[in-house]
Amino acid sequence: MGISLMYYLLVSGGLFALGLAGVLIRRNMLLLLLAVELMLNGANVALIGFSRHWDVTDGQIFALVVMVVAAAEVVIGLGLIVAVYRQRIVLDVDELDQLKG
Amino acid sequence: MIGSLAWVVLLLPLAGALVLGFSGSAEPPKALTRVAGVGTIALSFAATLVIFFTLLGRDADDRALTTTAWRWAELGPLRIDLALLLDPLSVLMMLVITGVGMLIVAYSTEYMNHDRDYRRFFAEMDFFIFAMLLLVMAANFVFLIIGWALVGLASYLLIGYYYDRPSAVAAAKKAFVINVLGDVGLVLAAFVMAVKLDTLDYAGVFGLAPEKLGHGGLIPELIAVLLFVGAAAKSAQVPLHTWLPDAMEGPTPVSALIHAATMVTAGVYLVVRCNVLYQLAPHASEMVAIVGAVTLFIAATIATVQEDIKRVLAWSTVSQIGYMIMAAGLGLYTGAMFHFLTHAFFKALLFLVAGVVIHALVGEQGIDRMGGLKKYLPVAWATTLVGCLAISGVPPFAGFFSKDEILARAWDAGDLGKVLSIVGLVGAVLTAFYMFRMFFRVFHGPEPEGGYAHAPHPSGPAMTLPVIVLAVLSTVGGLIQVPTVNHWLDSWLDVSLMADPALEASHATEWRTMTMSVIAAAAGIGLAWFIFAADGGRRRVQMAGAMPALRRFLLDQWRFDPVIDDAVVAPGRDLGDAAYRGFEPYGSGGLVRGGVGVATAAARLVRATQNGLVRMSAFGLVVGLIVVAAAMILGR
Amino acid sequence: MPWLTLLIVVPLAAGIVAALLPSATARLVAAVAGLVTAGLAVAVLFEFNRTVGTGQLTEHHGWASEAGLEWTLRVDGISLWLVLLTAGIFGLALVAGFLHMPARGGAQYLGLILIAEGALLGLFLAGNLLLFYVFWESMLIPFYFLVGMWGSEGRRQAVMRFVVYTMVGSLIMLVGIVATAFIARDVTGQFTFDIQALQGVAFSDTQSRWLFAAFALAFVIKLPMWPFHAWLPDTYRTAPIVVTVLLAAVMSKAGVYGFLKIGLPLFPGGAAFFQNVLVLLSVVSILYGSLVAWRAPTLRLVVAYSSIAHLGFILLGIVTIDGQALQGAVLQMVNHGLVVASAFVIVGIITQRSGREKVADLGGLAEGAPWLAGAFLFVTMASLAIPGSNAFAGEFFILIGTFRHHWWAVFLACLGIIYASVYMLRLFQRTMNGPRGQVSGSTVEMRPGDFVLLVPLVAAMLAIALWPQGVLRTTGPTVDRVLAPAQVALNRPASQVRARVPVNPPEEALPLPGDPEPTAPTPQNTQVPTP
Repeated sequence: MGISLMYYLLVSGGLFALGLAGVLIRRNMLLLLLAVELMLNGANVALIGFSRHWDVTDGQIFALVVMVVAAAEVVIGLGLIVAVYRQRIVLDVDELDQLKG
Repeated sequence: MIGSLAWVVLLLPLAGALVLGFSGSAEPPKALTRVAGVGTIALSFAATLVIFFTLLGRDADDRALTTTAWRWAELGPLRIDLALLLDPLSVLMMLVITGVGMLIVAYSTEYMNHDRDYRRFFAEMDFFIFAMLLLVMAANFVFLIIGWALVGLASYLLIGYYYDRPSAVAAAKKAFVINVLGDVGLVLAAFVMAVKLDTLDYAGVFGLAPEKLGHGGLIPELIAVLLFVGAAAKSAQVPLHTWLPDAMEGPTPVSALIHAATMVTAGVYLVVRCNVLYQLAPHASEMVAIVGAVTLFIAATIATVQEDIKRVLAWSTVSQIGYMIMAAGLGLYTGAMFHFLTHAFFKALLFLVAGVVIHALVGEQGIDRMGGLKKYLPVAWATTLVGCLAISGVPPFAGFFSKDEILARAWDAGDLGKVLSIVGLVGAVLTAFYMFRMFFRVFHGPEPEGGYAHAPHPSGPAMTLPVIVLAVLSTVGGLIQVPTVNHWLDSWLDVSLMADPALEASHATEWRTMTMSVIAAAAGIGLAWFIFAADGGRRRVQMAGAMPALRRFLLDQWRFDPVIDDAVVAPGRDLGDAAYRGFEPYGSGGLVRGGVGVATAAARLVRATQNGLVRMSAFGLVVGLIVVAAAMILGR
Repeated sequence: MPWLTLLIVVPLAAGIVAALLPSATARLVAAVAGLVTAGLAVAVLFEFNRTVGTGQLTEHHGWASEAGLEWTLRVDGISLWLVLLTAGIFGLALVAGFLHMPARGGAQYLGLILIAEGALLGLFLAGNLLLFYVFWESMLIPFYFLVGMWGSEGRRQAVMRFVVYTMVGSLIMLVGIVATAFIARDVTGQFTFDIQALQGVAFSDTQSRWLFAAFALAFVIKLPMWPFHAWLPDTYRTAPIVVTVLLAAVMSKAGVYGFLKIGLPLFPGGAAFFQNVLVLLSVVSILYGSLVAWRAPTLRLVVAYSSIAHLGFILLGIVTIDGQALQGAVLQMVNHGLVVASAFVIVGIITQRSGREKVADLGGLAEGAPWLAGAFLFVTMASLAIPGSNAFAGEFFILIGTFRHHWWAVFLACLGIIYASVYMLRLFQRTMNGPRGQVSGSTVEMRPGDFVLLVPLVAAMLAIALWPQGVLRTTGPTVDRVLAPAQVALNRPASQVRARVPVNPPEEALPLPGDPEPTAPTPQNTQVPTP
């Protein structure tokens, strides 16, 4: 049966927690994007793990969809970062608080 | 045939009013105004005469007819038609309204000649006559009320004729508001009738009332009292009388027509018209009689101290209507109408002569600025004498017969009648006194200090002729009903007075009352002569300081005005102020502002979390996730 | 001809077109559209069969049928007169706009007025609760912009208050609408928002009360009734005068109409339950409006508060649940529209030309303005309901009917009549009579354009004053039908119930639509003749 579900979930949870921590403490936009990517992949690992465990392919298909969406998201994210960089120079998200109520 | 003629009578004055009212912005030639203003009334009078003689030629039972124009409203069982009623009572009123009205309007062509807005005056007079005709010709209570209110409107317009004069404007408003109060009384009475009887036609109400409402029950008493609220307001009975003296702000012909001869007697007409209802309501009838007696006494006392010639006449009018109301309340319906008729003649006469005097003195109305006018205005002197003798009840003038009929028949109408009859006799003394006080001070006595600025000039034929006609009528008008000789008015009105108790005085009472009232008149005239004429007027000056408290009380008109103002007007005004200043901004507006305030404060709280930091948003997300997860796990 | 759809579509389409055109063309388009709509309304009057009490000239099309939203239009004896009033007053407003366009954004201004007209006509014709709601809300939009963009000082705050206030009510009404449909489905097994199909549904007492309350709140805010009138003074004060005319004369009728169309026929139990409260509140409205009108400082506020009092009379005629009173109330809706419109027109003439808002600044205007004084006098008398005026007929019938059931309310309301004479005469005399104020009469005298507006209004008032039966005979069958369920709920004597009460689901066969059944439901004769 190979690796048990437990290890998948541990890795997945680890990756996700790492990404979350990055999102919460990092201030650079590029790193933020990286951290989000980490979280997505943590979720992907969990999906694939469950897919193996229950022996259905749904999870793998989901993972593929997530990858595609993530790629698209990175494109948009990077585009936004470039646009911000051209406008404001800084990439510190704490400086970008125009939506403050 | 006479059915359609009734509509002609009614609509001609309206046509006159409309033609004059809408004849463009510029003042049309005065001749045209005279033709339209007087001509329509004269034609209307002619048509009324035709109706009168047609009805006179018929059998007594055949003298009432209704003519319907169209169905005005139909609400379930309640059907209201736009309809006119011709019967002896309404025709009698129509004769007075159009006849006396024609004389007064003709008189006005000269009286108002140098005044402002010539055309407007005649338009409003014509409108008044239309409204008054509608009031007396209506065949149901709805159109009675409409006519009732429209005469109020006409009266309002004519009292406020000099609309840039604040006192006139205030008087007009007072008259209108008190009359609306009366309208409300009538309207409420109509509601009771509509709800209880499902009809508002005279025929229906008077036919059904005895059977459906019963005698002396709460409902007929309530209807009678509510109707009397309307009658009292219109006929200036205590305590709703305060508007009439102020109404003298209008031009003198207006006072003669509206506030003496016709409109103010509408209350008498109403009580007489509703004789069936009043016979069902003995207590309300007694109340009506007592109010009439109280009014006649109070007004007579106030009239003795007035210094304005028109206000003397105004209080005298209130007093004389008191006689009529008293008579109507006692069930002496013919007596009330008889006094109405003679009063219309002699009071219109007195007002018109007063107008001649005022005209002669270029607008002066105070009687202490008059005196010795006999030599300047002989015709006015003679006609005033006729009027004063008539109102004082000196035989054989008109007022003698009508007043005597009321007092004599009242004496034989139970205990209350006896008391009121005595009040009436006291009133007769006062009447003779105040009328001759005015007469002597105006036409005899010394001329005012410094003499007259311009020599008083007699008036022209347009003013003199109506005065003479009215003087003749005041002299002979009483002969239509002479005790024990003829009862023309009794038999004429018989058809309209469905519930007339037909009270008759015994011969003994008749003679005693005649004697007493002649003595009363003589006493009043003698007293007036003693004080104001006998000594060349010097005694008046000596007595001027006597009884200051009583004099002050009478000059304050028994303090009705301030008391009513404090008790009725001020509370409403203060409540309105309190509502506008107190409740509007804080109560209802505060409700809104409070709601807005709460919403804003809540928003301010929530806003603190929106600091625009991405990390904070993400943190919120995580916390939310944890809460949801915890809830799912723990909730299992 | 789809008369009813045309009545709604013509002004809406013309409004959108007019808003896009240059102002010179737009005003022509708007005026023509206004007159065409008025013509259509008159056509409906001729098509109308006045012996029938149910909705007629029905038009029915699916729209979003899955959600229950359908394009169902009907006209009955009550909405007929409101449609005529709406089309007439808006027609005059558009003519007024043709004569004097606002300097800024005239085309959009006229376009918005037309859209408001379409929405109001839709409201009065809607035969479906959701459609009713759609029009109820959509009429707010044009009025929001009309007040917010062309109003005077303080318009922003006023219009926000107006919109938020009415939204609160209408959102609660939306909840009520949805709840009605679902509860009715449980009772009848049929999911529908059609107003006619919902009649006679046997709601339980509690349901009926809550649903009635949800609708009634929206209606009394729209009226407005005391104490929900806080939006009114500021809105009427700041709106352009033409818009004030439209708000007071037409839009205020939407709330009243709601009671007649939905409140009484659908939730008779609730109406009966809240009857005494509503009677009391309408009397308070009458007295409060009258007293405040007496003391209000500006011309517009006097008329605005008097309008609260007049609407109190109308509501009294409705909630007293009596045939004669309701007949009077329907008549009075038309009367009030005419009277308050002409009163605001005159107030507008005076305030705009003199530049003075306060009563105290004016005086003696009659001297130079006889025509205006005459017109003002006429309107004053109509407004204080002097007997012989059109408003008298309405108030008289309302109070007769009320007297039968709540005599105390009539005595209090009569105080309102007396106060009406006080405050209207104060307004008239302080401006027209007395010594001359800061402005001379000749500056405010009527001009030819004013006659165009006032002559039709005065003519309509005179016509109703002389022949109220012309209105009453059309409204009678509808009024009987609207009233019957509530009368039964109040256990009124059978002699007063003059129409068949619908039962849903039907016990026997449904009455055919338009079934003329004027007689009262006689109790079935259960006695079997013995052989």
